[in-house]
Amino acid sequence: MQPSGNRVHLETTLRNCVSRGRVLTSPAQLAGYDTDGLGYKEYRPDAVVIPADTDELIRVLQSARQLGVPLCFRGAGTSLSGGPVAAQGGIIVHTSALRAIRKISPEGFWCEVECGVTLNQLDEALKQHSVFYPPDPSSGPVCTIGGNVATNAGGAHCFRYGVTSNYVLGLEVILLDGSVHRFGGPAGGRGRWREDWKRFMIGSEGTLGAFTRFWLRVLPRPEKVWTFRATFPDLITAEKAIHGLVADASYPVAIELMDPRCVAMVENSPMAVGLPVDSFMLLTEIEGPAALVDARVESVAEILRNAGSRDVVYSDEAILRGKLWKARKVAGGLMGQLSADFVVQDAVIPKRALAELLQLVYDEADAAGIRAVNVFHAGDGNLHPNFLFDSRKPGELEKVELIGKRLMQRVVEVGGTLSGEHGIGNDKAAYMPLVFGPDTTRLQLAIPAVFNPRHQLNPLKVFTERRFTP
Amino acid sequence: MITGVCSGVPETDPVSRCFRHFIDPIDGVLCVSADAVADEIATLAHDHNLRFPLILDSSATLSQQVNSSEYAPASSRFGAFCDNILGMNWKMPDGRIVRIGERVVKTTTGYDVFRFLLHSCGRFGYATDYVVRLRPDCRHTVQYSLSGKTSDVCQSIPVLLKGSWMHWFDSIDLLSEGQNCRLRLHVNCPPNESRLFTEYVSSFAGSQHLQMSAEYDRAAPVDGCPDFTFKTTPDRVPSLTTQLAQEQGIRATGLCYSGVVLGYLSKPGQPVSDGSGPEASDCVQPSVGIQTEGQDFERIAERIQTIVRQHANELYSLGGDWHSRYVPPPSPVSPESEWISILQKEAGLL
Repeated sequence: MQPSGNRVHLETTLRNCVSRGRVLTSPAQLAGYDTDGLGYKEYRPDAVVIPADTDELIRVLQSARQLGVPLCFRGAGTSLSGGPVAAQGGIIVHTSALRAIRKISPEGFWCEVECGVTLNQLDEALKQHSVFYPPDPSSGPVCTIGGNVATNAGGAHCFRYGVTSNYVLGLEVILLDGSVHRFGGPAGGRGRWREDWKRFMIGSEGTLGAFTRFWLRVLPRPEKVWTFRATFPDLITAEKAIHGLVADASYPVAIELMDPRCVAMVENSPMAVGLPVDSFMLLTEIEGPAALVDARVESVAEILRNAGSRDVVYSDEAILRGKLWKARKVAGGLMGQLSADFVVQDAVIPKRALAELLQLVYDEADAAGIRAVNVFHAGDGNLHPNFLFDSRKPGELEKVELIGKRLMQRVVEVGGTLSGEHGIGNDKAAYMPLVFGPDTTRLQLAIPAVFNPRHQLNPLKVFTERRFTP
Repeated sequence: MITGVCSGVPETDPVSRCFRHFIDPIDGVLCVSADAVADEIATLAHDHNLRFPLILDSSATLSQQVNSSEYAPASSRFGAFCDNILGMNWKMPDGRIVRIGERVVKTTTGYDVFRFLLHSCGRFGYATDYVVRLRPDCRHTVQYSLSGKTSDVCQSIPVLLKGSWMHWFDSIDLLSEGQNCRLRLHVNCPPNESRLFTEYVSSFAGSQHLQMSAEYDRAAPVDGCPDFTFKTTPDRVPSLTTQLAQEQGIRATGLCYSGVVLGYLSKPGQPVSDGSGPEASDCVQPSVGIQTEGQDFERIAERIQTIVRQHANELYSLGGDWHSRYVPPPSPVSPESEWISILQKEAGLL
């Protein structure tokens, strides 16, 4: 936190940067920016600035550089990794005003959008052109494209379609010195640059520059969708179904699994959908041309039945499909209602290690007296263990962090990685030495050394070494 | 109590975490030498009903293919090489070998050094091994050829791409040589589905005044490693492909959805319709760096430079680019030159 005299100077400087935008400095205003989706770790910024356009954003960056205060960029703040929080104080730049959809080219299969556009806003606009943008994190109604690119976001349907990095054709970024650069564009190449710098930008979690706009690849909207829901008595049968679906020529777009603890949580709530409480619930979906997907329905159902499910339900009707998805969709909200705090881990593992890692989650959580439920992208091996706890109770947060550490150690040992779609933020930065040794850490840290060598942009994120020293 | 299956197979070095060669049929990932050729990879995958669909030249090494183009025909369905290679062992300029990337299909752990280096063509070191993502192999293919007047073929492409069938063809390629062109669609599908594909393509061809022929169980198309690649937007592919073929008298393959045109300095008597590319020994230069191979090499390089000069600005204006194994990229200017210097120094890539 800046001394009060400095804060007045900071506020005055920021107000000079934004004539149409806003500067927030009162405690009540700043409180809304203390946390991201994690909720339980609070970092109070010295100021929040909401630039109205790119020119104002450029002035903010240039001023922050002169003032020597940390800068953190923030979209909707739905990150689950402690990304868009002022971990070292300073200024949060809220990019919500940059929300224009500048162009949609259905013939060229691209669109140009500003960083504050929300995923659902984009989907509504693309729908009119019969195209869609596939990444679909569950925060879609509010999360911004800027945040999605910053964290290389994924979602349930990424099993078939891939994550954000598969769809970013180009981006415009403002570096700390105020210089504006365009990497790529509608064609998705390098442009005049010799190297493909946009690769470093995607997933960089606000540590290299401020994104202003993107060129995104889109696909023809599928003609028809079939959703399947099946329950399994144990993990062996559920895994058999997952492996069968992954290897099947029907190429499901999503393969989601809820463990019995998560199923029980839903069934013991007002949102119950009638699932057997001791079961694993699997959701899968196929989509494409009607003639093709209709021909695949029975083979997908057979995979689920042959694996051991006795209640395979499926539909191509929108309302019924929504009901099949209901348990999966309400699980996150229920955790928020049932528990003062919860943390979602985001490890990706080889699928053969699923049973071992789930058992580790259960053993560690049970021993610590922490409630754990699992709902995750099984097709990708992307685990999301959710730990429900109360950070106000002494020792609970430490227990959860210890479980997280042991889980991540084992994840890396079995060949997995720390994050599949949430990013590292400051939540998992301490685990990075598990993945990167001295040589590769040096390689990683060379990238901020190019664009943000003093770590003034989003300090203490991704790598703990990234501390800003004015 | 959890009762799922798990077996431990060492896939990485316990100290360096570098990849060892392995295949995981459950995840559909395979680690092979960068010098493995497409046929070797196909053999390894075949036993598990899997395949690596991105092939430019069946006798070229994976490294040669990756360094000749970021896209192959099957990129239409599966994306670029960087979406189908998950990790690699990378030999740094000073000889150290480090692991870059993962063996799982998703990651957002740290900066994406992997995609930056993958197509850097030897400027910062080179790959010694790749971890590739395999896909289910239906053991049945159909290749459709749609021919007609050049204008009809070109006008049919946006119609084809707009439909939701588009994403189920492995490749949708416009083959053009001289004044001739045709559309080539290839699909790997279960035998019981090929009738549906044939009905669709037949109906589409009729509506677009095109003649259709189909070949069953034909290997995936391999046109050879291109002599140059242009990256543009999908809607520019038909005109650019036919323009290059007609004006330059070369063979050009437009990867319609990927927005890519692969250029081949055709040999006389090598028809578009035979689907095979130049011999590997003629086509594939060493994957790392460019080596002069006499007058022939210089002649090809000069010709490509001429073609590039005519099109580069239009490609750049759309955020596109060009690449050739024969012509080095333009020298970077400020600020890129400074960025590269810092990167090399800080990362130990000198």
